[in-house]
Amino acid sequence: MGVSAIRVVVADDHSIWRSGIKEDLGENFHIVGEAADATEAIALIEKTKPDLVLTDLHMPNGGGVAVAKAVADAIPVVILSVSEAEADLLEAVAAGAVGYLLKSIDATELRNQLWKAAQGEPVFSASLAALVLTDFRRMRNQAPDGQGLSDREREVLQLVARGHTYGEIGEDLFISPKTVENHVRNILKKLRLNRKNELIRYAVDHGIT
Amino acid sequence: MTTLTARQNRHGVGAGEDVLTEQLLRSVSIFRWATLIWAIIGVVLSRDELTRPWLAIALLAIATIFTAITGLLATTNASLLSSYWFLFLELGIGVTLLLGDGLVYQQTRAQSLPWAWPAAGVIAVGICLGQRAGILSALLVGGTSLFVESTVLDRSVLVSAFSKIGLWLLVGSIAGALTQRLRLAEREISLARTREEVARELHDGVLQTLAVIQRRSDDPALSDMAKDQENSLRLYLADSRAVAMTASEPASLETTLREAAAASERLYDLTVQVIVTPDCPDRPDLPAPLIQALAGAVKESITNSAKHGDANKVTVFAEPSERKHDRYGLFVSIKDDGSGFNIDEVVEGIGLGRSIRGRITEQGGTVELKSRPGRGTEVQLWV
Repeated sequence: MGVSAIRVVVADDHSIWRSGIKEDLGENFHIVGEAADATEAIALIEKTKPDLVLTDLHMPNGGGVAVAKAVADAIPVVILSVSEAEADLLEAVAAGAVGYLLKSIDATELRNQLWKAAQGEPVFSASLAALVLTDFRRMRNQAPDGQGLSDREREVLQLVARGHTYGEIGEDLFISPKTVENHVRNILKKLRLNRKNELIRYAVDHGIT
Repeated sequence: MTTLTARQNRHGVGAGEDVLTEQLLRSVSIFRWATLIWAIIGVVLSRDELTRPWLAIALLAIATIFTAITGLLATTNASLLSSYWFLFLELGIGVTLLLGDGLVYQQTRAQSLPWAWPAAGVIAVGICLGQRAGILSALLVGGTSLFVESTVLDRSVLVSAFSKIGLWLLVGSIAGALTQRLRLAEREISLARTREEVARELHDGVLQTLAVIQRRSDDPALSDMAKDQENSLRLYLADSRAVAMTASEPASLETTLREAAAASERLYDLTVQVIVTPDCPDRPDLPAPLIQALAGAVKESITNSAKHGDANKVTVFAEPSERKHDRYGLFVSIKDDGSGFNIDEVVEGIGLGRSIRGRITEQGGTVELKSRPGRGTEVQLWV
């Protein structure tokens, strides 16, 4: 415990899950507040100004996407979900979440990942990487004017999707794990930008301006 | 569960059918206008051959009024058009017009008085009451037309009347059959949609509970059971995503890989994550034997990871291959977090040699192995 403990807000509509998380996080994390829906979570985050937000994807009042949209500019948001292949995962990441983890993750791994996320590192699971990879492929075909991936970024993304750790990827490509992380961060930035442009294009095409 | 039932009723099977019937009846009303205008033009052009012009005008006026009313109803209250009352009224008017044909013309005429107008009634009956009713009403209309034309003793007219009956029958039965097919398709889509919605609801509830049990339970048997249940539920979800597939078809790549992974998880103490990208090639582009071969290779790889690699976690990944010369354009990798080994020093065992390489090369694919001591093993398959 102590001053260095990471202050976390946990949002999930199931209280049994929230209490379970409390046990899992251990003493390096201090839960400053719990919320059962997006509206409550956003209010709580604005009041308590935590170091990290851990939120479920499917919750009343907009779920994790609404939370990420509202606060991700200021505070790292990690989505925790049971869902493996939902399109809203991409939406959550596009909304600014630094990452998404499956609820079946074990406690040690969860603590490690959240610790990294609190330092601003992208927490990027293999299944999310696979979805992002597909999204860029789709975009390359449908909107070639968007921000494409560099060869190196595509390589990194594919390795993450295949289950390699940042350390292993760095070794493979002869770069440092930090550089791998930077690539991942740039990939996420491009994804967000493309999504935003797509929305604007959609709005213009449909006369919603 | 109450919310589920309510939703099912709202977008359920019944509602979809009504919308379909109404849409079809709307297009029929356009067809009705077209045939009416054609019939009027026909009468105007052959006005010199009319023996009772006023009767012709009166009959066409009745048809016009009916066409206008149904046209109006089609945009405002289309469900009324599918009532027996309307269907029989239209058939009646059609038959009357055909009978009138014999009274208003001299023996020679370029076209019959109502032309194809009665066809709209036959189509409407086919749409609303099915193929058999469509054929019956076609027989009624066609019989009337044959009766009227048989009063003319010209053989060529008779032949054309017979061929017309054929056309009426065709129209009636096609309208009925097509609507039945469309209705079936609509029902299947709506069922699939309901299934997906139910699945999504279950996602949050059941998967959540299973995750809690796995993490909170001190009883290994109980958490194994929860893991098993989670796997079967995820299998179901993977299946319901492929809406177009029916039960009789062989399983998709994703389903098969998930099954293989779940079976391995039961055998060994490790977790297997299966990731299939949404744009990954799958059935029917991938033949069933290929999918089986891939599943076999995946299972064998996981066995190697468990037995020799001492792995805790395996990631199975499938995506479109970027190499142009692969026949099916598919790439699959099986990566573990185990001890790894030095490829130059270890001779390929039976597992890799026969079970993995054998299965994949038989399908025209290639296998590559990547490993280094201390950093896991990755088996790569291209087909």
